[in-house]
Amino acid sequence: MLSALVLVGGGLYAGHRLESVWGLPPAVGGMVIVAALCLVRPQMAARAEPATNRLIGWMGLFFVPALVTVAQSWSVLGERWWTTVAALILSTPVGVVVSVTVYRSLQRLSGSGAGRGDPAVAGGPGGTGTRP
Amino acid sequence: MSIDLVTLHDGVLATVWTLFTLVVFGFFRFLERRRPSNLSRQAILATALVVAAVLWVLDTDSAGYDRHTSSLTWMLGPATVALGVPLARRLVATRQRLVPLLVAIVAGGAAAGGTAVGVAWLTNGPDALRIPLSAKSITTPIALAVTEPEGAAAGLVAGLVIVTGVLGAVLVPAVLRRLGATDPTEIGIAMGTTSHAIGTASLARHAPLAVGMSGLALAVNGAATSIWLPVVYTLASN
Repeated sequence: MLSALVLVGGGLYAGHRLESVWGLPPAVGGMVIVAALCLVRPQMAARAEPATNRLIGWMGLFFVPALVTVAQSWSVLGERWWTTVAALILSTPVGVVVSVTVYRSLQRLSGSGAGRGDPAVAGGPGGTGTRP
Repeated sequence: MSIDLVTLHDGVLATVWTLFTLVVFGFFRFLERRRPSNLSRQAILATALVVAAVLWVLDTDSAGYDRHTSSLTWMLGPATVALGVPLARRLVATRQRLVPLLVAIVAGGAAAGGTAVGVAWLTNGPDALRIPLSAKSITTPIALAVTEPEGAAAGLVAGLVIVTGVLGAVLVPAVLRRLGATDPTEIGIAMGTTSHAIGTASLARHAPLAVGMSGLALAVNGAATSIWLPVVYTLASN
């Protein structure tokens, strides 16, 4: 718990400090720094993982206030709401299809399989962690 | 001893609204465990709708609610940083596929943004709508930073980003099923690229191994879009 607190707190602080250098928002920059630290010191990741997983599991809760604000100001779109809804609904599946297809195609090109089934996790506890 | 009644009142309201949000969210999470379905998984959306309805009944504006629950919003920062841990785990597992991953994320992000702008263009949507739509798939702080120089309304940009995330949490699993995608890497890049942190949060309970990859996708897509989108704006304005 303490190691997770230090890791996340330190990452967030470093993200704030480096924001003006690399232009990434502090939280995203902090995530990159934490990932880099965990790659260099895997035991640090192992110690922090139970607490960080719990925090990530509740991440949805932290979006609720922003979504409530949006729900109450939807009228700002006025008569363009249907264009917006159509754009949002159509573009998401297109993005998914393109990213998955490009990934699979490049995997095939590089000769490392069809991009299906991750050997590092397929046999691990809890299966492949799918059920999207 | 004097008590500042305004501060006390604010403190009580902050506690009440935060606890109320927590209880409603916890209730939907409980339902989600009892009767898992694609819709019941949307605890974020269900909680927001209940809270919005209560605010409407009490004739309270959302700005006050937003202020009183700022501690919840603040927690987004640490939660996003925490994504670095599963991200590192997934990078180790997929280090030999890094180039295909990065290309797929950038291509998916460009396709999602481009399609949204294309639909707005085909329906004669104004620039005031096209610009926010172009940044809808990237995380809010980056979307605001990229679109602000173009004069986009911050509220509209943030709103579209959030609605995109919620829609993605509902739509992406269905599209992935159609594609037969069961690899956590594919699930993660699709969700993080199109639905940023809200989509990533929705994976936490149902596809935990995909969470790290989704974190990578939201970071890479955000960084890449912040580079190429201003170039597109410049080209389009000439």
